[in-house]
Amino acid sequence: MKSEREVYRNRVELLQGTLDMLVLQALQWGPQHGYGISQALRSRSGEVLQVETGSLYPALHRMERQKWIAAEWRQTEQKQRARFYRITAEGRRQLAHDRSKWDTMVAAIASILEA
Amino acid sequence: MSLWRGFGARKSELDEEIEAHRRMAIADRVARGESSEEARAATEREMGNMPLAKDVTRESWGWVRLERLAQDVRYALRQMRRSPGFATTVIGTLALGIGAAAAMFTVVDHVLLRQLPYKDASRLVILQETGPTANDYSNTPWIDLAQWRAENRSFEDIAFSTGMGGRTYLEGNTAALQVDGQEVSPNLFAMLGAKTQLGRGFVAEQPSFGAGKNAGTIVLSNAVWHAAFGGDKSILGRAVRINTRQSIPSGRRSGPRSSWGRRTTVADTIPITMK
Repeated sequence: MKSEREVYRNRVELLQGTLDMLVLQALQWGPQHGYGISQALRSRSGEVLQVETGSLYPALHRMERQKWIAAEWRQTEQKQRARFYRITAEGRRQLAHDRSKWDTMVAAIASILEA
Repeated sequence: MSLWRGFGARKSELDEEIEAHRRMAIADRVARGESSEEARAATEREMGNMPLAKDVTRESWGWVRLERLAQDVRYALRQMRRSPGFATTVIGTLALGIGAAAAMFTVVDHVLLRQLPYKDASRLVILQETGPTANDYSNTPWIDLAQWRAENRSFEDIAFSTGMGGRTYLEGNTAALQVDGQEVSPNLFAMLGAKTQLGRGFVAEQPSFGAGKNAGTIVLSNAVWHAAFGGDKSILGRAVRINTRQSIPSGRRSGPRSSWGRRTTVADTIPITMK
């Protein structure tokens, strides 16, 4: 219990503008529902990144409207009906674009910090 | 309506989507060994303010404004049903207020704002003599009129008219008709820019005290022309009787709107013949 609280405390807020990129990246690994996306991001970040539900669903619905992702209702393995999202071709293009911007940003910040 | 139903369906779909999220989160925690109570509480804490999240999500659909409007309308209707007395009072007050303002404006519009349907209406004035007290209007005698006309430097022209009184009967084809007429100076129609639709109207002449060229000539309004003579075009130049006087119709004109906006019967307009 204590360890979980510790983990929760160490979680960091997502950098603004990175949520779209992370969600698209998570969907690269396969179609997933909202809960699955948040779990995937949490575990892949070593329990550091926690996506707020209040940010995740607005983002998902917005990206669906932008046609970066598509949605359909399906059953999970636990027989739970859930809305599964998958990345579209346009979403992949967007991801590549976000990714290159991110890389540039990281390199730029690193070069400042290490100067 | 289908848009609205589509919205409703989508809204319940979002509810279901987030409910699925909650169930899966709880199930995961239970699978990790938490009690169902703990799992529920922890999940709810973790998911935070769900109604807000749903609101924000719906905002991304761009329908929220419509939804809020519908909410407001429903709320208003509910309030009205809850206190019908108050609602009636408010609605009555609003109706009276709006109605009174609208009625007021209608009058002001017709009396003050709308232009008279005459030529150069903005340059048209009424000259009138009054007695020592405010309500003491009297007819202007011909002597004064003649002086006005003779010494006039302010007006292009001065025309005049006088009512024929209530008991004026025009003998039509089949029956005598009570009509509302004016005796007018021959230059009145020309000054107002009113033209006859049929016939020549009055002959141009200076108003005078004696019987002029237009003596005994009348101009009928469209309404009286139809009522008394059935729209007969051959009426032009024929003698008709008004009370006992004989007149010759010289034209017919559509009745202009008076300054009060109702149809006047300038109808059987008889040029003034002063005797």
